[in-house]
Amino acid sequence: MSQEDITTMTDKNADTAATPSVPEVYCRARSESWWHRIRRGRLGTTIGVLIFGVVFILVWEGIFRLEVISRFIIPSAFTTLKEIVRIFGDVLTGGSYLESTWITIEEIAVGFALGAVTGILLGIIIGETEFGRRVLMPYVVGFNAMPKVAFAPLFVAALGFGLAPKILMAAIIAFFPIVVNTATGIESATENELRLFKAMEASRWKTLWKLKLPTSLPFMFAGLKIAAVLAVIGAVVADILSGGAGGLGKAIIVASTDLRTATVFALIVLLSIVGLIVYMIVVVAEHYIVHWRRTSARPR
Amino acid sequence: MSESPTTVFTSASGPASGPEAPTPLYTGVSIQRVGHTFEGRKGKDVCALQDLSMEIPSGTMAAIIGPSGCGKSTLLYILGGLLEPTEGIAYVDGEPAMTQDRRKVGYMFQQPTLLAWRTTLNNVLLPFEIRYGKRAAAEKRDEAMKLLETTGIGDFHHSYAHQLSGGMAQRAAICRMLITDPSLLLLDEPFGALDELTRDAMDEELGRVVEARNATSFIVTHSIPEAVFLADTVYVMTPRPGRIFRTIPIPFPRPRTIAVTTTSEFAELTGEVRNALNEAGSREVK
Repeated sequence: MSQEDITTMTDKNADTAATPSVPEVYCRARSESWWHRIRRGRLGTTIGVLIFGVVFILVWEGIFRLEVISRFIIPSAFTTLKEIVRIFGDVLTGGSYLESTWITIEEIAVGFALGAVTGILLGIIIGETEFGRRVLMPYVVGFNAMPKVAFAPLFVAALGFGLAPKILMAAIIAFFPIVVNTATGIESATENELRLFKAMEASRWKTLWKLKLPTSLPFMFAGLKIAAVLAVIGAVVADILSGGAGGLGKAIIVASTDLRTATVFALIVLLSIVGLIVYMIVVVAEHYIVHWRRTSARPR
Repeated sequence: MSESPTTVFTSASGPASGPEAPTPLYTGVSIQRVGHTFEGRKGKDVCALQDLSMEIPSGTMAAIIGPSGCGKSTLLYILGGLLEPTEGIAYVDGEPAMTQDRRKVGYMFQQPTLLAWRTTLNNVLLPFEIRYGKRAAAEKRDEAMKLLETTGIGDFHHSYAHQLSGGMAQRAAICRMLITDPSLLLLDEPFGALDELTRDAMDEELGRVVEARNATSFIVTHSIPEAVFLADTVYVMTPRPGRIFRTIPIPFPRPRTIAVTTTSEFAELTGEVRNALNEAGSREVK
């Protein structure tokens, strides 16, 4: 490992000597013990995370065995692990949970996309126009203060038992952080940048397109990342509250009324993974779109 | 003095200005009794500039030095045509500043103000892209590269702003200012945020690039050596309302190198500017 490290470093040096790109200077103490290397390296992180996970599961199983909390509420950690394996196997082999998972993914994806598009548009209007800032913004703040989940029964009454009310819920919950962040981003072009554009006689449209929108992209993505998590919550809560066509929320309700707590936990894990995937898609998109924020690609 | 004020460098100064204006005879900047008062709240108006007159021939550089709040930036806005003075009138190449062709004005600010999502090259091309579109900007690519090379950052044309040092970023800003080939350069404390050593190098660089052109330049600065090194005339201003307190011609021949700063004459001139600044300041404090 140390050999490899040194060769990559010399390669790097040769590289910078040949092409005068951004010069990078490496300083790293070479006389580190192997223990320090592992502790500070990526391998150390992985080992630490694994150890913590194992300890967590053992403590959980201990709580179950000692019946500190009722067995109906906290299932056995091992049973839950088995349940997770079963449900994931079911999803991967195209069982009934795959269908529920697809429904939930559809609710999240369509809801999130809807919330993102409308949120970004409204955010731009609020950030760019006086009308938006002064007239629309108070409404956004007001609506944001509402417990949006409470609208679920209304949505069902209006849109029926299909996917529509759940998509709408996911969209509405995802909507607000996107609006607020986009608007903040649009307004965050500096005085100097605005002066520069004014001096270049840039039109309002060009200033928006070439200055304010790129400036707001990092803010937008901060909002989208929050929204990605919220969209999952919106879809699942609507699923649980509205019944009808069943996503994973419905599956959770069914399992918990049967007192299959381990299944509930396993489904929650499945949902977290769905949520994580949605989140990661946004992170990857951010990585490519907001490329200039990747401060100097320096390997660790 | 290497250039006398009557020297005419450009043969044509664009379309003749309107009949109502007494057109100055030579190209360059002519400021005639300009004053500006900002309307303050509750009727408390702030007089930023008062009764300012200057004649800056084309191809020379004027340095404005004075305490903060003496209306230096206001003067730049007026010259750039971004602000109409409440009194008097400023002419740029015979045109009133407000109606001049603003494409011929190049700006530089204290911050390089490079757009983070553009490469250095695309930042330099930005003024073209904004005015004439992407295709016109692409045609200027070679010219931009040449500019980057003359300022020594050609190798960094593909770098983003966060990969450049402060000095390199300001070099890019110089290139962006020059790409449109402006005839009036307005520099608002361009190197105020840089350290002393980088600043010296940048001053030399700026002097060199500007000397090669036939533009009228205004530099607002807080640095006395910078003013003396760069300018043909240093104007010392009083605190608010800004008036010209003293006009100090700088006779060093061009091109100038940083070596000039070690001469006794240079020390004398900076001393003169320093004294004028002290006098101008103390006169205000009653």
